[in-house]
Amino acid sequence: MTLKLKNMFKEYDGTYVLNDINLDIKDKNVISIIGNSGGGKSTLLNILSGYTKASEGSIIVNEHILKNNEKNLFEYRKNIGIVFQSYNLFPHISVLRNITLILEKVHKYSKKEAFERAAFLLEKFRLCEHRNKRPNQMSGGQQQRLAIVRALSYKPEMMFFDEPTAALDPSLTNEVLDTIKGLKDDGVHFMISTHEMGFAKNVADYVLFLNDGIIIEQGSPNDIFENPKTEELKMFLSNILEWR
Amino acid sequence: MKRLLGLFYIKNNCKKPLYVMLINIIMVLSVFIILLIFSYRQTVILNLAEGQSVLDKFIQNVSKLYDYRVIILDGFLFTILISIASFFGSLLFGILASLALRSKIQILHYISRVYIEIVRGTPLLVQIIAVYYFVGVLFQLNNKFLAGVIILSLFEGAYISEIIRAGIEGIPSVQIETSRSLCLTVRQRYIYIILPQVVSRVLPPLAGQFVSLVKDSSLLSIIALNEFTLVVQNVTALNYNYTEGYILLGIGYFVLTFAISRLSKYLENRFLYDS
Repeated sequence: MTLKLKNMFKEYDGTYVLNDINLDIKDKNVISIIGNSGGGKSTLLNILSGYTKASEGSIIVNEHILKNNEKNLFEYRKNIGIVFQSYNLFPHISVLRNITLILEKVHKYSKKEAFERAAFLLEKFRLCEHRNKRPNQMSGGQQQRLAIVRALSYKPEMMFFDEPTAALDPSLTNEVLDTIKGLKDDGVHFMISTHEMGFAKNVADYVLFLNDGIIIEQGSPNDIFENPKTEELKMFLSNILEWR
Repeated sequence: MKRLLGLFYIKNNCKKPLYVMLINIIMVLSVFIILLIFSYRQTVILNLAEGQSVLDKFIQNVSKLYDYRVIILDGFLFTILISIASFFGSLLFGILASLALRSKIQILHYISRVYIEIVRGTPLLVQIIAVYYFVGVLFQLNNKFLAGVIILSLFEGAYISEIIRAGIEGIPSVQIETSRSLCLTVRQRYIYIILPQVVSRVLPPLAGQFVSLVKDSSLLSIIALNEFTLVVQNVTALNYNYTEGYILLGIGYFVLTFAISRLSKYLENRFLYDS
């Protein structure tokens, strides 16, 4: 994943959620964003995934130049898999249909291709036995894994995870993190915001620390977790690690 | 003793056996029937001819109704026809009004608002007379069936628009966010995600409204529309068998509304999903 951001701002009603973001990251497979809640992690992810527009600045993700119009972003999003905090499945259709609907209607798969692709993925992610259930009949972990499978199904160029385990209890968190870790081993490129420091440390190739809408520190997991340079990062890490 | 009590009292989260249900239903129904018989007896007892028993009188009156079975059945079928036509009409008005209410164009929003408030704030009887005798005259609306269907559709449509509005507003915004993130177009979003969920949400209250509609259609008798109520009223006026006539009316409407509520239970189960 290659990211080039220049003087990027995002404001909501006069307050700047993201303040002058500049990034130049080359060829990293897994990028993790850490930082306090409300620090702009979700907003940054939403902008990079083409879900919301930036207020100012230029953004290039891989070869895509993100322009500030919905049509351009809509086409861009077709190459992108997004997974939200709360698994956001469609409650009125079956697990299988949650996947095939998107494949057929958005990505123009034939019925047969869509079914085969969905069946293959459900098998692989051990959700096959649930495929005729409604999403709400599964556990939270299974639902989040289904959301991941759905975002993965159309073979996106890269994926964005916005605190994918924030709504889960600890026992289910591992189940989902293992799945995401598995994606890395399969060669999927993704960006993830998380409060799971162990995960960020062990899985990410590159870590961004975001505080109050500003990128305070960035670098390899080693740099960030072993040699934090700024006061903010030191404080953040000590707070988060206090009860571990 | 305990077993006897078990026929009438069910502990929490205990599955109800069929015989308990039957016994209790039969008991309740028989109380109603006994009440009905006694009050019926009281009303006819003064009008009995020499040597005539209450049962004879009942049979005589019912047989007079039976003589008019063809026109009564016609009236019954006409009520069904009016109800079905008005149901679709009211769905149309309801959908239009709910869309107009959500419209960003203010004039549409207020047209809808005024319509809903007026219809919900005035009695149906007044509306029937107002529309039929004032508006109907203005537009030369001479077809009574059409007039009746339009009046009922307007009336129930106002309630249905509120049902649909609540159904649309009840869809969590994450459903829209997710559809957007997955690149469904606005049209696809409505067809595959929002509408199916709205349908399953509005089905139960819609069925309730349909039940009301069937019953409300009886008021159309005041514009001399030959539906069930008016036909039975006319027949009983000829034969002085009002009591039997109104019992028949009650039974007739109940059969219709009971069928609707069964049907809606069935549809509800088909569209059910846990949310």
